[in-house]
Amino acid sequence: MDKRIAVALGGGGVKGVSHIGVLRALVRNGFEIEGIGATSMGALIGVLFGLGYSPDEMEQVFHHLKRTGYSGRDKNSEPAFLGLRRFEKFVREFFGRKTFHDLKTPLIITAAEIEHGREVYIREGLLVEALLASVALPGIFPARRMMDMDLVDGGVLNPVPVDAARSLVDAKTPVAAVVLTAPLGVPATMERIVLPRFIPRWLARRIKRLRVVQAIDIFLLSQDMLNRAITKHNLDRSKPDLIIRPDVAHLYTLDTGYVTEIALEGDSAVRRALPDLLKLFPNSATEELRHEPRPA
Amino acid sequence: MEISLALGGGGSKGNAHIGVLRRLEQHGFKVRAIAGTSFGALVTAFYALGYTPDEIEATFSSFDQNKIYGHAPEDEPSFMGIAGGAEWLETRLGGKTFADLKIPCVLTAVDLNSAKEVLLSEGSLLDAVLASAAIPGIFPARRINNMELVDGGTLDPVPVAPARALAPNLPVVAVALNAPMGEPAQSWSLPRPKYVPQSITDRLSKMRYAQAIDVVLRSVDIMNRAVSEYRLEVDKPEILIRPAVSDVETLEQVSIGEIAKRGEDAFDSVLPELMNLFSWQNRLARAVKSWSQS
Repeated sequence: MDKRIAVALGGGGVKGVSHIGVLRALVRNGFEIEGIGATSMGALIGVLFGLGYSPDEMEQVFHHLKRTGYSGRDKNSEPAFLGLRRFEKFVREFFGRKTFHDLKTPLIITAAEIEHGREVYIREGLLVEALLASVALPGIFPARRMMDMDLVDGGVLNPVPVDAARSLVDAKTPVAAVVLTAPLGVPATMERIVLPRFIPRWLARRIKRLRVVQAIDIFLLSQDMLNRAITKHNLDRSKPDLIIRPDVAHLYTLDTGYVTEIALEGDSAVRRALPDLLKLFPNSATEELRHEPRPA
Repeated sequence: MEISLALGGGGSKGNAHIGVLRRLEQHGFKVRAIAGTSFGALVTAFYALGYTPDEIEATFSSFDQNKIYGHAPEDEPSFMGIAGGAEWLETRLGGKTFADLKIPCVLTAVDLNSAKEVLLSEGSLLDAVLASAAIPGIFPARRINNMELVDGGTLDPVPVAPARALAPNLPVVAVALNAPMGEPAQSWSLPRPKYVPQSITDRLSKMRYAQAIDVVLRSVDIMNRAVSEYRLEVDKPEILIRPAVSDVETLEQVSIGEIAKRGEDAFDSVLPELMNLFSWQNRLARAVKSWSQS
């Protein structure tokens, strides 16, 4: 019996780079990824994996994005604080007209429909369009108009789309959820205002002392908490067979970070979870080989 | 007919709680415990101090809603501040503590630093209400016992679990003010200072930054509703009352009596269900359950 598994890749901006390591370690340990449910940055990794890019190539993509940056506003796009011009330019060139049909691993990308608050599964059409909707952090990046809906980051309603992953595989195939946010009760993460680097430090210190900025800070902290609460409730409800938690909760979502190091956190997280992961496959290949010859 | 009550948050929508309390009294229900959050905490404090629902309505109506906002020098940072409201509350709740309450109650808040729900049940009532109602970023967070407290509704918009913990053997009646999922998301227009003409605020709201903020606020609204649904699903109040207040904005100026009336209407629609909880069969079932647990 093969070690087939479905994975749900959660959102979390740069923390999502750790998904690269998670997928790498799973494949190395002989797991076959049968389906992926993904949102936000998880969606980008899901698309890259589905198109057959190797972990090294995925890291290259993020090195490239780190150099060019993601943001930039566009006159024609929906209103947003930062915009996604550079990211959009990159993915349009990189993925071109590829659709969900080009994927080797079945993938569902989730987004949130903001008008009525519904989770939306995107499973066909241009990959680029699905990606841009799924990464649209509300207000920061522009919402996408698709299928007559205003779509934003799927993480708003469901940061780790376990049910989407489960819907792609049969009932016997376990689903692993890769969660990038800290559990509740752990002190607040770094979701605080980060100023652009060109602002000198003395000025940055002064800006951060402004009361308006501190108020925004408190708002962002509570947003982070709300997000963690939603993650918890979704996991309680969707009950993944296993939770993999790369140690990245301290990273700032919009940071660009150290790509290779963050990816390695994914490998470590799988290593920690491996004993529990193998328990999901009581007659896994290694055991079988030992006890009985494999059918041809 | 004894119950435990959970009053949810929702700013101005929360005046509907007054109507629910009035109907509960009219139909002879005894509120033996209350948990409240945010505006629900405000109503809880007054009710537990012994104000009748009519007195609460009159008291709230006597307050000039134009005067609620503003910053006091020692306040934590926030966009609007609630100095006027706090000053007025001081005249009503100043010096009162939880020991003065006639009904056991807890008010909920959330500690920003540990990301945990905090149950407030002792000390200054005024501080507890202001902490519980501190919409993050909009109103100042409150420091109590080295915690940085904000609106309890952030993690638990309707405090059903705390209400049940206060009176484990009584049915919990919960009043939720958030719209259910599937209804259009709500942004909130922040109150406009009187000296700014409407034409200017209209123009401001067409600016792209304002529209981006609007997307943020709408997504916060659906996140809040999602948390609310999950919690209600897990905590399962025996009776859920949902006043029709989805058109009322959190910081809107309202006619207290009109919103309270909507609480009465919502109560009337669940009354048969509530009476059924006190049928002799259901009473017996509860008695057996509490006996077997003790």
